[in-house]
Formats: sequence, C-alpha cells, structure tokens
Amino acid sequence: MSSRLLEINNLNIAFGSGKNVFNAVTDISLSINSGQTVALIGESGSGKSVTSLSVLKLLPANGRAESGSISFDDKEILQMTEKEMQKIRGNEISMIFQDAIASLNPAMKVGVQITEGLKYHKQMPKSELRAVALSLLEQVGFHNPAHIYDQYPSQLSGGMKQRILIAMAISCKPKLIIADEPTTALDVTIQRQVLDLIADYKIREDASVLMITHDFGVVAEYADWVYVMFGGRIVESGDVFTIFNNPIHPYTKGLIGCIPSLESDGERLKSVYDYSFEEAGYKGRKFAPETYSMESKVYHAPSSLIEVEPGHYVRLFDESEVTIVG
Amino acid sequence: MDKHLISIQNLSKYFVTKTGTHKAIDGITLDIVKGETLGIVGESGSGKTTLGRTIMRLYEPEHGNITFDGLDITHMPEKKLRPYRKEFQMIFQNPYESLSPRLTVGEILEEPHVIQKMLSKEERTKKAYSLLEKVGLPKTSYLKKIHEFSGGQRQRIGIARALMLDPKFIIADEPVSALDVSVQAQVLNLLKDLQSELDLTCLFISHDLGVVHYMSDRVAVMYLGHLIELAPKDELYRNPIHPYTKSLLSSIPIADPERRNAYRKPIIMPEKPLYPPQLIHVGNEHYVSANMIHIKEFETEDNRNLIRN
Repeated sequence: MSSRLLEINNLNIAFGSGKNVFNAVTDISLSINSGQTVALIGESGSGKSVTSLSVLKLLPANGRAESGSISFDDKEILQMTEKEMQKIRGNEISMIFQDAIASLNPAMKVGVQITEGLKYHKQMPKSELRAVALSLLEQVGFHNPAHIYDQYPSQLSGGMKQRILIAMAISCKPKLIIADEPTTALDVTIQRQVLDLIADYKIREDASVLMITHDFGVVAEYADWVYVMFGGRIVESGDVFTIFNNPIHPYTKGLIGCIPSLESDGERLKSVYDYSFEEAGYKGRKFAPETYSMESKVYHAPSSLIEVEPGHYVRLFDESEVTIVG
Repeated sequence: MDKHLISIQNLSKYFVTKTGTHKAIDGITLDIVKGETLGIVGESGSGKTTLGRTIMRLYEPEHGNITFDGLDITHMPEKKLRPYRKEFQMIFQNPYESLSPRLTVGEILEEPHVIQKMLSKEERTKKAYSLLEKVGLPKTSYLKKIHEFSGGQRQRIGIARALMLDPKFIIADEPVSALDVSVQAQVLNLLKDLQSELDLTCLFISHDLGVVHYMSDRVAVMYLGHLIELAPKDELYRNPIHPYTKSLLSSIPIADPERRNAYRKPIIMPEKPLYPPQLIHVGNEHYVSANMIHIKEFETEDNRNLIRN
C-alpha cells in the first residue's frame, strides 16, 4: 500500500476583504499517494492554480487560506512559518510553471540557475555544482550539456526552457512535483517530450506529480487519479479509467466531449451545455455553467460530493435551491 | 470554370534579420479548391501564419505568384487591390488584441463597410445586427465595447467582422488557440455552420491537429517553411508518410486511458533541406515531400511523373 503524501482537507481560499471577498476555492479536498500522478483539470478561473499555489504557500498577498488543512508528509503546511516553508519549496515540493520565460532569470546562465536549489538546500560545495548541473541537463535530454550550461534563457527555445525548469525542479529530488500547465504554450511534439521527462522522473524516484491542466488528452496519457474543478469546487473525482468510462457530471462530459477526436467522422463537438444531470439519471438536478459567470444573478446551490461508486465522487446541484444574488 | 479559388505557385517570403535572411516560407505551391476548408498544421515557426498573411497580401512575397479567382494579385498595387480585399478576410488568433478597445461592437463591425463604401448607413447597421444574431450574440452587444465580452464572445465578434463584407475566402489563423477548451468547441461549431451556410472557402491554420481534423477537408503539413505533405484529411491522418507528420500524429495525447502509450513512435525532426522539397503524388490525392522518402517505393507507372517542381 502506498502512503499518503499530500492531503488537502476542506480548503477554502479567498481573495480581497470586506465587501469584495471573492472565494476562489471552496471546500476542496484532495489527496496524493506517493508514486501517483494526480491531475487537477478545469478551465481558467476554476481555481486549479490557486489550489496548487496554496500547497507551497505562494498565494498572492491578498489571498489567504480561510479554513481547512494541507498536510504534506504528515506536516501541516498552513501552520508553517516562512522559514520552514523555504526548506520545503524546491526541496521536497517543487513546481514547474506554465510560463518558462517568466520563471527563469534572464541575466543568469541556465547551468548556474539549475543548481541554486542544491546550493541552498543541500549545501553542495561549489566544486561539485557544475558536474551535477551537467548530469541534470543530460537527464532532461540535452545532448551537449556543456554548451547549454553557458547559455542564457533568451538563447533557448520554449521547449528547451521548459526542460531547464524541469532540471531545476528535479535537482533536489523532491517527493512531489507540481506541474502547472507545463506544456500549454508548446507544440505537441515538444509537449510529449516534456511530459515524458516528468513521468520518467516520477518512476525513477517513486515521486508524485500534481498535474494542473485543461487538456483531457494529457490526463488520459499520464494521470492515475483525476479531480475535475469548476467554479472553485471539485465537481467530480475518481481514478482515470472511471472518469473516462463513466463520467457523470455534465462539466466533465463537456470537457471530454469538446476535444476533437482524430477518429470522429465529423460529428459535432459537444460542449458543457449539451449534457445534463437528467440523462445521467439524476432528476431534479441542474447544472447551469453560465450561473458561474461573475455577472450572473442566479446561483444553483451545489450539494456536497456524493460517492456514486467506490472512489468515484460527484457534486450535484439542486434545482430547487436557486438563489438570486444581488 | 476554374475550380481553384486560390492558386499559389512557388511562394516565398523572407525576413532579413541581424543574423541573416530567414526563409519563413520557401517555395510553397498550393491550390485551394472552391468551397473546401484547407487545414494547415505545423509547429510554431513553421511558417503557417506567414503563409496566411502573404496570401492576404499583408506581406510582400519575395518570389512566386498568388492567383485569386483567376486574377493575379501577387504584385497588384494596394489601390487596385482594395476592391478585391473584401473577397478575402481574416480571423485573427488573439481576440484580445485584434479588436479595438475604443470602438463599440457596432463600429467594429461597420468599419469594413466604411472603408469599402458599399452600403448606406442604415443598411450597414442592419447587416451588423443580422451578423450579431448569426454568431449568437445578443442585439444589445451592438453598443457595448470589447472589454465587456469574454474571450469566446470576442472571437464571435471577430468572426462577424470578417463576414461583414460577404467574403468568398476566409483565413482563420489559430482562431481558437487563445480560448478555453469548453469555449473552443462552440466557436469551432459556429465556424463550421457558417462555412457551410455561406459556402465559404477557408484556409484554417492551427497547431492543434485535432482541431484541424475537425475543421478541414484537406490538410497540409508545414515544416521549417516548407510544405512537406498534403492530402485529404482521412488519408493524411490514417496514412501519414513523412517522418515529421508521423511524429506529429503520434505525439497527440489520446483521450482514452485504456490506449495509453499505444501509438508511441520516436519523434523525428528532420534537418531543413537546402531547397524546397518537391511534392510527389503517391495516390489518393496524397502528396509528400520527395526529399525525405525513398522515392523508389512510390515509383509505379502512375506516380512516375513528378506532379510539381
């Protein structure tokens, strides 16, 4: 039995204060076992990035975790001081951001950048850094590490920069890698290389991966467990086979249905609006995605997550409980 | 009657930079048949957008010819070209940047008519309202400005603007890549409906092979500024020949966990050949670059003639 590495329980995250409070994340619970790849999938604004940032306590200054708990390796993250957090970031949990350009220091050779974590966390002597950097560069698929070592980020392509970020992220052998849309800006061939690198590391070190994405294709290829987020809540979760074979929530179905399949014969793409709870056998339930837009005046109260089969959870929305806001 | 709406021969566009001449597109020969959607795929930097913009005469080509509906527009002066401009319109990639934040939606939609001086004020307004309806936006949008709209709605406005002049030919340059997946599907469906309703010919540019598959009748693959493979959609996706096309197709994640890793092939990124490749016909309207394949394999009686040079 693999052990629980990260457990988030009933987490609420809010931005702003007073009248302008915005609940970005409501009542999120998720867990990751060691050796597992967990996908958090949803569209922009669904709260998936905020959730992942809160694990590293990197929320913007006006955001805060209101309640709930995040426990990593049996330590409570929300109670940690900044100093304790610094020992975790990049060391036990590392993050790969979407925007590789913004994540690298443009005035520093990439070879030097990737060993910063080793210098700080592992107190590795300077004399060894270069050799380690070269081996890291080789691990992420560069055939001429000595040449790449001396390059600046602006001299590298998008895919190369993303690989530098991976080298940096795995340098301290973290137990958990959070990859926040690591390949959204990349071409499919490069996307595959980058995701394969992360998957290879995971297997080699028995590490875990939290993958944030909006692409169900990527989820199908790499994830073991899936959480679907919408409007700041988890609306469905289960293992990857369950989610693909028996999705229940209209939003999950919409996300799967809107991917143009290479094998389809021109049948129309479906969207979130083409599915309902009724067809899944839940009468009196309604999911109206537009009620989640900021201007919307109607709001369907979601129920708590219901376990529809072992390990498969769905959040239903009550048609009767409609609130008119403002 | 010529069945080709657009014919381009040996089209090249170079950009001169500090480090030398960059051949963004080089020796592209391509016909677009009336009423079809031709998809262009390729990685970033392969020249897809440059090709679209050169056909639109937004760039001045270095070599080659562009024929639109039997008329050579390659070097036609802008003044003479203007009446024809209404026949080919473009939908841009980023609806956050391609629509003016200072104008109302009504003004954005009517602007092409103000320039082309085709309709009276009332007729323009009527047309704008009817197109708003056609792309699924409420009438109230007419007086609003762009910042009040979401990405998907903005792209609908971009589509409506492109249709204001009743064009024959539309170039859609990555029209959905800035949108969320759930919104993507709606915009693609809209484009498809409009295209069949209005009998448009379309050049659909995207790096997303799934999206291109959904939209296109034929698909052309570009690589480092060259056209390397061209075939009817199903033929290309079922029977890719060029190693780069094969790599592209096998890199697409399949949304089915049961088939994880099923189609994995090594990624092959060939070097750029010095000269634009010749395309040879290998049957089923399937053309492939001759540089990379063993021509012998295809040298049957029928295929002996090289189709293009």
